[in-house]
Amino acid sequence: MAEKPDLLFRGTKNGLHLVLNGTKDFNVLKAKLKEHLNRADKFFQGADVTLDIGDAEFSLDQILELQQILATPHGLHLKKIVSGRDESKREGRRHRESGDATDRSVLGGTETEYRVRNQVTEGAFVYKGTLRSGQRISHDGDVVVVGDVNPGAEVTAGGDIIVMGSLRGLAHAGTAGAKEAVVVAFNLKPTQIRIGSAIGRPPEGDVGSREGPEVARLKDGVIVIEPLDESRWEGDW
Amino acid sequence: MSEAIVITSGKGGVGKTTACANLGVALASMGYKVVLVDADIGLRNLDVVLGLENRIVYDLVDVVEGSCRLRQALIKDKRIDGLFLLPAAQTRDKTAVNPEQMEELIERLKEDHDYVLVDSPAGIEQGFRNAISGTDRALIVTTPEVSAVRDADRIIGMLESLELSDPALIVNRIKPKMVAKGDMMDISDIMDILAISLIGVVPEDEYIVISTNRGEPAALAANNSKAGQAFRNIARRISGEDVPFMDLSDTENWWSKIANFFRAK
Repeated sequence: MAEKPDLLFRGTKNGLHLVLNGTKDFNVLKAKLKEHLNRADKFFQGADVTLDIGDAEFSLDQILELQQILATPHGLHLKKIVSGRDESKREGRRHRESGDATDRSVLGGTETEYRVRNQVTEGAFVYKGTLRSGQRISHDGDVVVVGDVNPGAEVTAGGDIIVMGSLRGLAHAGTAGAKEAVVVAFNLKPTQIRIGSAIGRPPEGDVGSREGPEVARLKDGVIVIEPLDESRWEGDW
Repeated sequence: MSEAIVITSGKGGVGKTTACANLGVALASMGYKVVLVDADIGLRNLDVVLGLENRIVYDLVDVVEGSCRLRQALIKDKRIDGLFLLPAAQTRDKTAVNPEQMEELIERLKEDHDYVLVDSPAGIEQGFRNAISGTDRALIVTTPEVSAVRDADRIIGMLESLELSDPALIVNRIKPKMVAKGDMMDISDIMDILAISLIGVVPEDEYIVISTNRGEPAALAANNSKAGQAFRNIARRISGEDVPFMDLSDTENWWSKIANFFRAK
């Protein structure tokens, strides 16, 4: 098999598809991308770009850098980021759950652009500060709160919710029906958690204090809360 | 330099009016010229707590509407020099004034006084918006109850969005014995959620009920109540002094003191 190109632009019906070879050095990729865009001049102007990073792991800063390169001066909008490995796993699980024959056949045809995409990868909304009673954040993609979510406050996200602080209010992840959405908090003491259409609330009475970051996710249609240790990050969500 | 301070809470019944009256008395006793503004139009109370209700001729709405001069509406306290009250109208409601009028009123009061303390009504509607208009800082009063803390949180969020930043917290009516037994939220539980600076803790004190009914604020120098002392300390902190927080465990009775003595062994 020939070596994967460093980067590849493909036109699809959903806009431009940019595939980056994540095994290469980020700076090399950046330079190649710039070069490529300069050569294309105004050819791509105004296009919506789906960035496929395959198996690579990019930091938020790196993603933002790429977004910047695409945006100026070439006027491309980074609309979606997909990672091949996660994507295929998610798809696999979803189709196992639904058991839908037509879906499976779509999955069988491995054309990337025909995959049913995870609807939640619209990019994360980052809120810095404490979300107080009566305040509400609502976003189609993931939501990151750098601060606390107090009782009476609400966070609604199409994707995951990550609270880098105490979650004491209400969190609703996966509003678009994404069953793999999770709620993560350094201190998870919510009034209520909703994932998709499932609703969970903490058990009545004093259940003793738990320490450390935790993750809430759906398991067999029920919201379960587990400690967030490193192995979970590599898990299949 | 004069300062306008609004005393607010969100929830009703947590002691805004009591705090306002006592802080006014304490600041005036320290020699400052203080005016208390009752912004709770239609539900006026501050005059009663101060024992000045029978002296009211004109009120805040009269001033705003130009029916009287500002000086005519100010009631001088009968005990302390330098303490004045601008009472609320009882026969009107919150819509009788708007935030712009309040802002102008507070500006005028600041010209002649060191401190303008505004007693806010409960709630987050127009009365609250009127009360915070023109003020420089806010004191949030809460009690150690989940409901009061949540409302305080809401108010803090609203103040932040209205750019009245850096509010300070008064925790009122705390019962040290219940806290010690774990039956009441303690200060750290409250601070954990609200995450603002703490300016004072006032213990539950039966004397407050007596003093409110008599119209004699507990912070008057003549009495030795714990709550009165706590309010005097808060007044000193408002004026910029660094006053240590008092040890509230002293409010225990002699029997529990003995019990503690043996437990410590």
